[in-house]
Amino acid sequence: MATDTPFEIEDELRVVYKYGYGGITRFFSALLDQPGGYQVTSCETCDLLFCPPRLQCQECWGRTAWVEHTGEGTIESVVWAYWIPIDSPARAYTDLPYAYAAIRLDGCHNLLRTRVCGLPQGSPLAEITGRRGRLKTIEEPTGRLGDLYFVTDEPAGGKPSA
Amino acid sequence: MRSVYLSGVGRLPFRSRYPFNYQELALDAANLALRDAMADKRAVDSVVYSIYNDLLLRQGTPDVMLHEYLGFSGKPAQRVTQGAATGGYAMKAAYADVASGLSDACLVIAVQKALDVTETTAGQRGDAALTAENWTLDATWDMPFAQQPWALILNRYIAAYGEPTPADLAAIAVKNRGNAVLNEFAQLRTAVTLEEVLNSRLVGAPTTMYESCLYSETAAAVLLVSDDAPASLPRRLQVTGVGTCHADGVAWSDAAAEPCIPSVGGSIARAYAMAGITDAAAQVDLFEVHDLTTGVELMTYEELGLAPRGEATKLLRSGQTQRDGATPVNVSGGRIAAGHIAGVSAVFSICEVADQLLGRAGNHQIPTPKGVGVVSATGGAGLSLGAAAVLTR
Repeated sequence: MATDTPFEIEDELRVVYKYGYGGITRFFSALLDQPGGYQVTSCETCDLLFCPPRLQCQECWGRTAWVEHTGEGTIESVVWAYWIPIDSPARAYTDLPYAYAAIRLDGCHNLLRTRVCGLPQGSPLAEITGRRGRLKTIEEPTGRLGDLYFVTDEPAGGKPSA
Repeated sequence: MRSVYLSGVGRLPFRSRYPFNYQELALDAANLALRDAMADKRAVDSVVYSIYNDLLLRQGTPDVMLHEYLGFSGKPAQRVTQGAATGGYAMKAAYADVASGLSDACLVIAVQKALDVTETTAGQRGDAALTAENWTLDATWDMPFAQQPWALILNRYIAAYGEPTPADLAAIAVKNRGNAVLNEFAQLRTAVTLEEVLNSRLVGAPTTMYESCLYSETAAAVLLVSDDAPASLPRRLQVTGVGTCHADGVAWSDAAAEPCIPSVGGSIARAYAMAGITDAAAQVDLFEVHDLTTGVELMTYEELGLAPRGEATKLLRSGQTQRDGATPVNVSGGRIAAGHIAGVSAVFSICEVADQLLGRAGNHQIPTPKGVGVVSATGGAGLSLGAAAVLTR
């Protein structure tokens, strides 16, 4: 007998992608082919350096060229993530909690955001913000941002990071 | 540009989940707004649909289906989607329709369902909804680790100024939860203590779960009219200022730049300039802002011009933003307690400010001697989207 009692239907939207990185392919191919080597872009007109890299300059729309970078940089903001959705893709790379930061690679105009490894949990924000370090690539990169993590240098005073 | 007036508003309460579909919710809200304007649907010249997320609705271009459902076929319409600031951008679009002369009566209809999604591990609908929302982060450069952008913006602020403390942030949640107790449209109407907020689960340190916005469903609508609209449509309030601003909050190019939410500041500045607001504390009765987290509300105090850079915590501690303070913020309970769903929240805030200015806010009414209210909304990856509106009696 038909009623107004609500019932639910299960459904799924599944979209499979097979995509490329366009003009920034070299950044990700370097992760695969050149362990420890990082490629960023430099504007051929106004000399701005970009990582994340871009094919065209953000300011003047000029073309950029690839340059090698050491991966060294500075943390400009950080957060310890204690909660993420159950099906978050981050769980394939790390347990909770994890540190996530906005990092400026040396000389770069823009900020790269990725996880930070080796930071002692609970460190005051003022202590971590401004800390120097360098990018590292995971042992089995797959050509994604998740291949990257940032490791901080020894803090002032000579104490090693945990 | 022509003057634009608010003729009628209507909103449904925020609820965790409604047993109705989005078309049904939208029609109910539209009906309330038109009744408030003492009009029927024939009075509507054009429509702006404020609908955020297709994935959550299981429907691409939902405005198409909704326009047909409402019986508006043939009327000009557009759909706006701009993250959690969608409603604010929709108001600006509707304002432009009327102010430009393209329309004499534009109906903004905001609707969003959130929890028709689920995930298969534990059936956590909220988690699934957030995963669908994370689709709006940068697919290449934010995923997979991205935290909501507010976290990096707030923590940069804390590192720079040494405050707010966790207790300061928790106090905002206590304020907004307390305000919502009085608000019949609010979803969460139980007060909390500072200890309960501080002891709730950490999300992104130092922000806790109780300091984070709710996940809700609702619909709201606003009818905007011109001077040339039929005289039978009331001009209850004037929309004296609107502003939007796209500006990535986690993309500061200068390490020395002051921590801020540029989309919020930019949109408010534009709205203030239109409305002639030069001293918000002196000229405005109330502010409804997007406390997506307590930290976003706190930093918004500075963008509203209520505190100089670095002194938002001082303002908070003064009590000025309490409902009985000189510059009340989120008397509705805000996103943390009244409710939140991108697509509707800003329009809900417009309705809230309208009801306050018109003396119709019932148990949670506050005095509005100046006759001016401000709505600020933000959202999107990097809190890159900002919209604001000024309503004047």
